[in-house]
Amino acid sequence: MEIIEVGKEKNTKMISVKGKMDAVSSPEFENKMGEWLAEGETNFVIDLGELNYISSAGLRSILVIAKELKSKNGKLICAAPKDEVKKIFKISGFSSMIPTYESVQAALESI
Amino acid sequence: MRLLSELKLPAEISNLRDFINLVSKCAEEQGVSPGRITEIGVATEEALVNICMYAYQGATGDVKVSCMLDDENRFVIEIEDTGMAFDLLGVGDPNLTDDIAEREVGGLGVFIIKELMNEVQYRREDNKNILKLVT
Repeated sequence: MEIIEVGKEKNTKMISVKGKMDAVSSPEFENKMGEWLAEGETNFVIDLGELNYISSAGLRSILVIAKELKSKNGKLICAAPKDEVKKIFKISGFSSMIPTYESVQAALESI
Repeated sequence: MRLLSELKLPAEISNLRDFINLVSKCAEEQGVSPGRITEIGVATEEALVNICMYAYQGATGDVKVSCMLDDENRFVIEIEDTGMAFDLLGVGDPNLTDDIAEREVGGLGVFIIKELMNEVQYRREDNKNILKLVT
């Protein structure tokens, strides 16, 4: 898994998560996001366009961070999930819980 | 049932990707589509993570993953451990409609397995848990 800082727009940190979010790599996502939260970031758009795989461990990490952001009145938005990831989001009810858009552009416009 | 490939390693998260790679390679050789291979990988991961976390209760033990073709030529993954008896088919479904604040963290793995696989069977045999995922 690779986590890339893309930039900042509309007071929102834009990041991209690539590769696999499984039980091996997901703690890394939680740690990195935790660091940004500690720096005061509270709004995120996560580009999932190059994420090929997500398991419940990945969902768990996303939920942990989303809960923390919600308690700080922040927001986590997902963008551009591939079909494989979209299916896992749908099965688990994440697509109706975590705001998810078809593109990064659409995610930004929602803010 | 025809055995295609198998791998036995300690039930540790650090071995997870070796198991998933084996299953993915085997499925690919059987002509399974890339999208379906990802789903099979996720289901296998969910089952293995449960075993790594809970089966041996802090002690160590092995897990064996076997890829097979059944009599109807379906791709089957069998996952075997000698940890405490656990029938994951007995696990209730999670609440999927809670919002972020109320939503329980975890508890999705078994549900995802059931949703992704065509058939899931469990049996306890010779002090082993044997989970069969039929794709």
